Amino acid sequence: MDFTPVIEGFEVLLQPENLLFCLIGVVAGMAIGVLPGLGPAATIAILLPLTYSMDPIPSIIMLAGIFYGGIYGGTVTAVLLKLPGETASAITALEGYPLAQKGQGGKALGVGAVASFIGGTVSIVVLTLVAPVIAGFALEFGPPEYTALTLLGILLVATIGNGSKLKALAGAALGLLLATVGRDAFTGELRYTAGNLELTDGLQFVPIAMGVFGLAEILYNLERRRKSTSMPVATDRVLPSKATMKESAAPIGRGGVLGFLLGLLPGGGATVSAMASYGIEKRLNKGSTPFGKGAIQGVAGPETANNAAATASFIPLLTLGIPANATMAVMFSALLIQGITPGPQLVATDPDLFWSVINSMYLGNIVLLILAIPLIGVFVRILYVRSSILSPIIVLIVCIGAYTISNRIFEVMVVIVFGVLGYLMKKYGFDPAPLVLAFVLGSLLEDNFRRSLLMFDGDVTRITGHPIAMTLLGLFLLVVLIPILLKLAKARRPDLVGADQTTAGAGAKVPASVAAGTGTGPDTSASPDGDPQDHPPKGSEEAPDEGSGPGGPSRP
Amino acid sequence: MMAPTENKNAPATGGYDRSGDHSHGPDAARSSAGRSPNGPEPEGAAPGAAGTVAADGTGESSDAPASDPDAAPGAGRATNLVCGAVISLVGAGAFAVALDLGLGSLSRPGPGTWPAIVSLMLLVVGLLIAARSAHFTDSERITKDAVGVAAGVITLTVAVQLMPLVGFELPSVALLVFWMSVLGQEKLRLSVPIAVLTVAVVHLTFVHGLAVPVPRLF
Repeated sequence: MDFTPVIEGFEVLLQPENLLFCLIGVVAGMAIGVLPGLGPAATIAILLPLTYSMDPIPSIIMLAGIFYGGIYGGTVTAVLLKLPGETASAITALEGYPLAQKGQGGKALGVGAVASFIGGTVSIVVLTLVAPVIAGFALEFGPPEYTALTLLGILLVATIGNGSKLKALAGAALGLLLATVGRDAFTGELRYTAGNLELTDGLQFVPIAMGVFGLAEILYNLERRRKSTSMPVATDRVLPSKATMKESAAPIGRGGVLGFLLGLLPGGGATVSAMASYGIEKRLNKGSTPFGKGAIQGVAGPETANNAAATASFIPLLTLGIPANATMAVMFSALLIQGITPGPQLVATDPDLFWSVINSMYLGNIVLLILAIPLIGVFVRILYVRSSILSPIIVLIVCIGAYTISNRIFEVMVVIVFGVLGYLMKKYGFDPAPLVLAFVLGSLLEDNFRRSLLMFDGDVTRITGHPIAMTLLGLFLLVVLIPILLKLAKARRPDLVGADQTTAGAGAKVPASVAAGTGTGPDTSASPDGDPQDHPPKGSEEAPDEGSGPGGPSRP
Repeated sequence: MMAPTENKNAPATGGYDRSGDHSHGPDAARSSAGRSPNGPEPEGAAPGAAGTVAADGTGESSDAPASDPDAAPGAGRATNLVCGAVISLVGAGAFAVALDLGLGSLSRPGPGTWPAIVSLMLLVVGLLIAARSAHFTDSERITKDAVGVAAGVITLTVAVQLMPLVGFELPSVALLVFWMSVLGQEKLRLSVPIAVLTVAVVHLTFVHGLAVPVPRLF
């Protein structure tokens, strides 16, 4: 393969002004990502307007910075407040928070930064090598293949996501329906606009993401924060010592491999890979500190795994044009705004842009590592600012940002409506990620579905002539059937399936147990004072005794 | 060819959509949005939940672990039943509109084909949620603290609506002060300077730095 474009891309990247944009991105991403409850998807959505008026290359570079900064911001809150920004960093809290309580939060954050860097970089290197190959392969994809792939992607997000699968499916269906609002691309007919002219072009993605991720979180905290205020635990020095790094090296190595492999799965395996890495490290642990009491290996492994997986999920986005999770969905729309359509054609038609996307990830990762260590102290300060002051400021930024999307108030109102919807969804146990992802993929799915029907002249059995599409549909069925079969098997022989941890069923169940693990697990609830600010471990009083929860979606 | 079709169908579609808007909204978003600002006891979901939860202790005990005093109390079966019902209604309403748009056929899919499939899925999933409502333990009750949420949403909406009329600066300052001092119980001598400073920074960043045409006074 020809590496000239890769190297040329770096020359552009290393210009001082581009470095500066990356720096601004990382700092802004960390500043917003460090706010409790705001995960990477919310962070990117909130900061997107910053990049609107910029040229594509600096804006991509800044986005990469925001992406890594936002992810790391979630790690900071997971360790210091036990408030992970996303499910994947909930695993980091399992060991990171006990460390912070012992006054060693800095150690956890430092190792976390190194682990994130290594995990992310390993993934980008592989991405650099693999992406063009997959993209070449994907050029052969036609409408039936895309239909099957998109269906599989939505299903995976719905089943790997938080909480109830039925509720996730409801969210996904609503997202698909919302995507049909506006003018029909085939017939030009208006659908679900209720005569509203502003809906003619359909709903936009960014205000929806800002609403259900950003504003909804703030509204949710508005109801909770009267009861308690939490203060982060003081931290020690962040730069990890030699001994610490020695302890962490092996977990980082294992976490990187695991994270990349699981991260390749569409559906974004960040949480699953962090869980798996935690489980493995716990089994292998021979260190002085038992797991649950602040074992650094339990931070190093999962952090590496989750970053490797987060980066690996760029592969389906850049090569197939299919975002694998909510964060990628936001990145997808961010790239679209810059006039970059992620997909198999990108490498061929615009290699410069393609490589600058990938190279800016190297840059974002490095800048994060170099910046994170000295700046952690500053970001920890943000945690001391009361949310009663921070939340209104973020709300204002979100509103102005939403206005800048099309320079009209309508988008701001969309943010508010979806903020309220997201708040209600959060209250009633609906994960917003499937809705957002299904909304993004909705028009792609419908287009390809209709094209396939036209292609087959209505005879759906002709899909059997498309082996790739058939394979994907087979996988789709597997994802649907495995949890059901496991549940049946568990009902008959609970002794057999109870120990199963690596199956799809366990993967689907994982986040619920993660929530339990961060909240009331026997490991972490050892502290007598409890956790006033902890997210409610919804509906689960039992904690995972292993890294991953017991298989089977049913709860006793 | 396309234009006449559109014209012919436009009035019918428009009419249907408008009527549809009340029953299901273009989306659940609107209908649920209408629900929440009414206050902490929205019609439907929450009173039912609040009412039943006390009686229906089954879901409760496992929902709010004692170790987490800040956890919102769990909602009972009624809440999930209403959730499922609302989802099904949205699905049913959307399906009605899809029928009106024209289902087409498998060989010639129309504008309503895909929405019909999706809304049927919504309908079925909603029914399943309602049927399994007793088994969910992941909903929270809307507590009386949600007054703050409602007040937040209403003030935000008012401020946003005022922005095109009087510029974004004054509504923003008022909004920030309200959120900080009324909702967040911060002292005025803290919230007013922060609000003014924030708006000044936003003004500088967006209006001057990024040259975004935000409606403004200055």
